[in-house]
Amino acid sequence: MRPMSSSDSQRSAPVNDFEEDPRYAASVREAWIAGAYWVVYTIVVTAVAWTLGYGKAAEEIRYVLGFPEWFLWSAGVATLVFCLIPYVLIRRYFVEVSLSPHGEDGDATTRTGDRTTLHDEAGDTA
Amino acid sequence: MKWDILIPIIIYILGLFAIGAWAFLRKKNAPEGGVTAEYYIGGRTLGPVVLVFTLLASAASAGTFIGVPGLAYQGGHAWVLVFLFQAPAAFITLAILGKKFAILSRKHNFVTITDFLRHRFESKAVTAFASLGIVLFLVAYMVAQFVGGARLLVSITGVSYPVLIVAFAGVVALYTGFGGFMADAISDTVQGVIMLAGGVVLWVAVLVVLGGTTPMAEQLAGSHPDLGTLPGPSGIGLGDMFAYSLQFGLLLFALPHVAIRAMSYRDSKTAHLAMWTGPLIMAIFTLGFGAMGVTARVFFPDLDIVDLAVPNMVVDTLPGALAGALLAAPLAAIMSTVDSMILVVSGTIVRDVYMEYFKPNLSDRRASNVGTLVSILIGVIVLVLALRPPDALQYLVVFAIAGLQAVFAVPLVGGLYWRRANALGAMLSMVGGVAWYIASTQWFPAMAMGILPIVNAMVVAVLLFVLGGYLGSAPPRHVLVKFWGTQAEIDRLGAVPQGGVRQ
Repeated sequence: MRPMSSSDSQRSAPVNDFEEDPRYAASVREAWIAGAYWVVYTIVVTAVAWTLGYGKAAEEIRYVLGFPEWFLWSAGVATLVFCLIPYVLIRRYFVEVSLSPHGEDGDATTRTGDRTTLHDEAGDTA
Repeated sequence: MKWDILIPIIIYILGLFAIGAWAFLRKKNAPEGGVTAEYYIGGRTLGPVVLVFTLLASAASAGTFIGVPGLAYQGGHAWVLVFLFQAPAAFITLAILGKKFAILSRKHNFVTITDFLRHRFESKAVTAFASLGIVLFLVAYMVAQFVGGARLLVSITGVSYPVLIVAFAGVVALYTGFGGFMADAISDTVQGVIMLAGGVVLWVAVLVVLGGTTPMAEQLAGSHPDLGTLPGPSGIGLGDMFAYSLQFGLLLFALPHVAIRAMSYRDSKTAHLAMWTGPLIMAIFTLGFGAMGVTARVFFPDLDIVDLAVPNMVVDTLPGALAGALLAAPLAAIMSTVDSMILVVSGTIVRDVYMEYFKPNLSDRRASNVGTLVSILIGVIVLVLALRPPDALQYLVVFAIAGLQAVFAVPLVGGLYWRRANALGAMLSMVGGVAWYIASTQWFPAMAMGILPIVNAMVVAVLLFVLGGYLGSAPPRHVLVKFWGTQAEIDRLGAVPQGGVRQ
């Protein structure tokens, strides 16, 4: 720790002389996961629809269960899969932390590296 | 007048009043210091079921139940696919704003989005611009929702337009004004359950009439073969897919009335449950009602007003009382979006204008009472505007959603996760993003470079935000401690006099 004068902070890097709330690291990771999920989701759903159906003449479109085949696979199957993926992501990577200012269970939230034990321990604090 | 349709709607409205009254009593009993938080975000006590439905209902609005089916009626299945991109909105919203947003709002008692921006950037300009954006865009959007909904109802129920507007806007103003966030959230939940059940009933009835999915497909392919092609009459390209996914999938979190919900939940478990059930429910809504719009083409080959596709299906295939119950739902969709917007605008006016400039020392209970008054006043203003919508309004409506996203998305995420983020960057990005968006939609289409303007506007907003972050000075230490430090560090901050640091 070094003393900071107010002029020192001008144009320099942000200060880093305090204890960080350990719960925020998990939030950053979870935000990245959601962003990555969105990219993959957009690409996959679009790719499925375009591969199966783009530019086909009306006579070539097959209907399955009342819907065009390309629609059933993209809007139906692919979307369903991507609606289930958040469940897996949350179970595997998301951390349950206390939301109170101090964080009721300091121990469980500091070891952000060890995801599985963190998840189990935090389960009964929420 | 069709009373068999109107009676369930009237019962529904009475139910809303009951919910409003319950929420009002709950607020009355809230302890001093927690009344304002109770009024604007339900005292941060939302459980998973209410959280999911209030998040989806606030985000989805009448578009999902009326607008998208109307587009699908005209443009075919491709439009349904496009709007399905909103399915993961609950997951993305709660994960991107994240638990950090929820923890910070508890540490510093934020109850509006502008609260967050004010503490993070400590700039009057940023706060004022954000407040202005919220008030202008959301009021315009609310009026548009009422006008659209009431016009539809006129053709279905036969009740006159002014009566409908006064009835609906009045109802919303009253239960929202008195009940606050809890009334808003609980009514969203009731409405969501009606929509889910109603959607299933509607599909069963339609399939019974048509004799199953195979005859449905045959009739559709026989009489309107182009609807099932890609892109078909919709004319959607790859760039549009990306742009719509950006606007309705990724960026819904930036709408203030959606973002506020990310501070309202009880605990992590609640958020996690809402994150994975939300996408499924939203997909069922969008797919169910969207595809119904395409099927409506079989029943009504040439509607003048395409937005009537689903309402007509409801009236045609279901018995009167059931039809009324189901028609109450799209209305409720309008109401549930508008009520959440009223509260956001009210919170902005009370906390960011009234308390900021006129009465900084307003007590908690007084502040929430002023909130009630302001909410009702906003409801009345919207009502008057909806009776005779001014021409200028439609311009604001066109920009409302994308404009709010251009203003709030980058400062929210940047402020949360990037230490260098500062007021200069926030200001440049808010003004630059929204200016680029308006200029490229209104005057200089070349600025959009062939894709939907929202994409470029967001790129501009991000670049300006980063540029400002490096050009301007780094945020002062106390801001970093408040947004990254432990509560112990924040408490230590309070012990040291902060005089002069603010400016």
